[in-house]
Amino acid sequence: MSAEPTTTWIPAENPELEARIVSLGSYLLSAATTFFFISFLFAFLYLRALNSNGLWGGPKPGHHVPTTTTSGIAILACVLVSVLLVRLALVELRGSTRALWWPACAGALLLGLAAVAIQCWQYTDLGFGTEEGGYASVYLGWTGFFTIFTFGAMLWLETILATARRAPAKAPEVEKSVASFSVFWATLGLVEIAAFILLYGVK
Amino acid sequence: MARLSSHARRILAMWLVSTAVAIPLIIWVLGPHLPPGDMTAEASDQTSANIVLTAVCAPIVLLILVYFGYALVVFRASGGQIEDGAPIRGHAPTQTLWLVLTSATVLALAVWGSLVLVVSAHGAGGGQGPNPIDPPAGAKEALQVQVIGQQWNWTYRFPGYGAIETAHLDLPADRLVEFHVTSLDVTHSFWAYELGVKADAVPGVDNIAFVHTRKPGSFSIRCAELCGLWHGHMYQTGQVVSTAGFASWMASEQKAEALNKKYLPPYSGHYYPEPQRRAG
Amino acid sequence: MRRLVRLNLRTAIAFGIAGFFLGAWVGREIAAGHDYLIGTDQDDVAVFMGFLFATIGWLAGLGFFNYPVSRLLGRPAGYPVEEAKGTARYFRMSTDHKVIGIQYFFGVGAFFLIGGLNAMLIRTELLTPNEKAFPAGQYLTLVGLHGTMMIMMTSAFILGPFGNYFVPLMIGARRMAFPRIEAMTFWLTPLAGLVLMSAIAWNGFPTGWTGYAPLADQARAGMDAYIFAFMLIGISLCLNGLNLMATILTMRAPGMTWTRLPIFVWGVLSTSILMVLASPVLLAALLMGMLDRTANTGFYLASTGGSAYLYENLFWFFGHPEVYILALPGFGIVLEILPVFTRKPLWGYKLAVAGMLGVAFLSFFVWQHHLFVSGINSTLRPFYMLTTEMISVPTGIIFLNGIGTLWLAKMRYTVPMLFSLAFFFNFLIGGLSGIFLSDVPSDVTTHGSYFTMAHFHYTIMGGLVFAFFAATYYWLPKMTGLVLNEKLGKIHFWTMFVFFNLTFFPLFAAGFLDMPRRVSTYAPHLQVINDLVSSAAFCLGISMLIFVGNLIYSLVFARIPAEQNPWHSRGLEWQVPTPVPLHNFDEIPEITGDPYDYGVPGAPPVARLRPASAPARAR
Ligand SMILES: [Cu+2]
Ligand SMILES: [Cu+2]
Repeated sequence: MSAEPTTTWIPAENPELEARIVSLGSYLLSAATTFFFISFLFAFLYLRALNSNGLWGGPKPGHHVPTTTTSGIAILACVLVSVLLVRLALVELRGSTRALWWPACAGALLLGLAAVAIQCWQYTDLGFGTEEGGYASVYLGWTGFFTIFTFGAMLWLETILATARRAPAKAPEVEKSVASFSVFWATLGLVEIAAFILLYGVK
Repeated sequence: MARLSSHARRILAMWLVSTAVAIPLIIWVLGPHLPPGDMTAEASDQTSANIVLTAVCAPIVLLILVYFGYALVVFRASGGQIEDGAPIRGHAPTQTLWLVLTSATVLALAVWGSLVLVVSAHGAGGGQGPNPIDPPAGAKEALQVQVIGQQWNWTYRFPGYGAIETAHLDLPADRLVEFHVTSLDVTHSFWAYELGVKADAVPGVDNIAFVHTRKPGSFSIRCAELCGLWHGHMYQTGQVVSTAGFASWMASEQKAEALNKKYLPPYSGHYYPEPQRRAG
Repeated sequence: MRRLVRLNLRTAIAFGIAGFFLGAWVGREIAAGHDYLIGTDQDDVAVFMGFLFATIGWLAGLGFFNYPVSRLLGRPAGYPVEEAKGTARYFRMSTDHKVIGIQYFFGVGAFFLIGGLNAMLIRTELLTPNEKAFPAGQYLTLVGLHGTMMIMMTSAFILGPFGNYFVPLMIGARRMAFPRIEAMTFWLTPLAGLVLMSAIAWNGFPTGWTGYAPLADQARAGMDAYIFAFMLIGISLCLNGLNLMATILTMRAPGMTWTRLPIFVWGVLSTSILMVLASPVLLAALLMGMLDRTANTGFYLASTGGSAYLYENLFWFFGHPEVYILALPGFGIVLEILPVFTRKPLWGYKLAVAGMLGVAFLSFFVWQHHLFVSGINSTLRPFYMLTTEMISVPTGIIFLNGIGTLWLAKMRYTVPMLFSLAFFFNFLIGGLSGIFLSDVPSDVTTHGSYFTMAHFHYTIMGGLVFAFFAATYYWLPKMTGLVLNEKLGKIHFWTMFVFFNLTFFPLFAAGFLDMPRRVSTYAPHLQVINDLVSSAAFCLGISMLIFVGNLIYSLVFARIPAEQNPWHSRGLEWQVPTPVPLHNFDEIPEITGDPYDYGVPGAPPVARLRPASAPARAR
């Protein structure tokens, strides 16, 4: 066993390379996330089509558990506006003024967290139990893991905001990190649109 | 160039000779021993599929073995010396030929497999789900047998005979049989080896498989999908008997089952048992 | 930045155990409020929460949360590099890809040996046609532990040690794209192994490595360990693929064009695609199973609106790409090694690349060949038959590359070369037996039988594990700086090759003679075959011990320093000193030549390692 090692802290060596790595990583993470939620999309369509024992919709054949469309719309709106705000911040960072990117991103963060909060509140007042049919299962799984992914995305966004606040970085670097985040967050936005259409529209 | 082609000629000759020896051996010596035999039309189809595939594989195996054997002996460095080989990066005609040959073989196999599956064998004894696309001629008069997998046994119901349930399986010879395989708990797989039948028993699913029995004889029944503790014990021996023998077996079973009949659930293509889940 | 506690494996274990008990308590509190718990004897919520908290504790104990927390507080990005020597650095989180490679080699290797020990116990039971050695439940747990452990560990068998260690060296980079994620992919692996083994403490699990529902819904709490361990591996695989792909796509040295990329790196790249896209589906399938077991949902229960087919579809959508996650790195290894010991360029390089990418692409369209007799989509069976058989075309290309590279070669029969040649033999049998399983009529006979089992052991053990040993004998001298004993290596090779084939070839016959997989009871007339197989399997186990003995002898006792380039390879990884310096290259090298230009007159060196000082060569 050796003595305490000497640790050198190496800063991100080449910011340009670092940004490319994070950007590519973001695309790959988005692809993986898409495949993760495609599993739930498949589960939805498959179980709905099979309708085994007639129990897709609820605990009795031919019955469908109630859905809470209001909070569904609220979550969808929060996520979509948040995605748009991040895009807006990106436009802002690429433009000449750059004044609004911070409030836009902060707003996006708050809206994302609001989506998480609304979903958690909704679980306490669901109107159906998890065991009541295929729809209930898919609903719980899809929204649950979407909420967890959303929370993770918000941690990432917070990191970007905190870094920029502490050490005012050059605009190109902030722009690249926001751009990478935006890819992932827009992917989750698409997942939420699909979830809304299927879970609240198609049922 | 002359040296090069002499290698190629020797390899080719060895390959052709060994293939010419191997293929008749496979067809006429090994072939009759390949499973699952000829007790049913479907089993015969599977046996010939196994023979054809073995015969197709033989030249490929022999090509690689002959070539690698030759190369290992001839293309070696002399006495542990490090010397460079011929710097060849590829040979376009060989590459094209290889791609064409492998693609053609594969396509031919897929087309042939599909033809056997759909046109001549009507599912080749495999489970086809609740709606087989191409049921064989005379499917309406087929003997209906429901196979019920449960932990850890097989039982059989005969909807044509008052839907009685039996613990053994007898089938008449020279008859088209339509199996409806389902399960009462977890996924099993009904494997009647000599009949050439394999169909998963899935809860809530009516999995249909057709088989044309021929001569009388016995066959073994196993479970081919892991289903828990006594999976290996889901083992029975069934009989294919003469039509008269089947009728008398059925009569005695019906008599024995008469008392039990009222306890049986109504016959259905599949059953939805209470979920055995752990909850918690 | 001074630390009060030194975070290493010891703190990880301590925090992990503490986390487990905390999580189990939290789980019990959560579940206690729900009336559906009444009348059940087991507390899956508590077990899952225990595992979750144990994972958090394990990662915290290794120090994985320090950096994310500091980033949340807005501290700048960057990564630490330890300039430590000695063995201690292998027992804590390290961001040096070379340390991680060695951690992977020994970590995954240890679990591979445990999985092998399970196989020995299985073969002991199968000496007799009835249960003798183990009760039926224990036997099934052994089968499940063997299968799951092997699939989990061999998924990282080549990409873990050799991918992490050599990809940066081979493309001329100083590190991987995400060094911390790289460390995490490793540290999740032993944790997954430990979680899986903890299944023994909860009465095991009955499902084998496939974890089919609804048997999994019915099983006792050992199933939770299976689900959680496999989830950890799914995350690890996905992140490892993401990291390797990002490294290869962004960090190649100048001059490392796509046609100069070593073929092993192409193998890693095509595998990474599968890992990134397929593992999330496994994760989702397992999470649905977890919800079925804890939250009372009914994804896989037909009686409550679910379907067992849903699991089978999702699982095999991951499961077939997984087969190539296991096979493709092997292709890369043997094609990397053949040119070195034939002293020839790799024959048909571009075709090999196309073949590997083609296999990766096609492998997403074949999964229902595992379900030919299940009753799913029987109308689609001709399609899956075609796609499955089509995969033999790109796979066959690898054989053509081998044939072409051996043509007019000057072969040297070193241990890595012997393992590579055996790979072709074993994979040939493994691949061709797959044709029987892809053709529906013959699949009706062979599905779910020992034929299938022999088939995939030929591809995984005969293919991947042989390639792993080829890579071990080839690269371990570079990784450890020590020579491996060649005589013991040859004994290991010959015993392994002979007894591998004696073990698995007869199993094709057992399958043809109606022996189903995963049984502890079989027909008495099959005892001769099974006893033969068991005896060969025990010898195969001894062969593995010879390898372990060689490792211990060479690395602990003999300790002969390895040359920088003992095989006279052109590969860039051999042009750096042994042992490899902390930063790999003083300057990022400039790639000037093809890695396989053996015997090419006037071929430029593969790279200029110090562009500033080295004299420029023509072309
Ligand atoms: Cu069974
Ligand atoms: Cu497959």
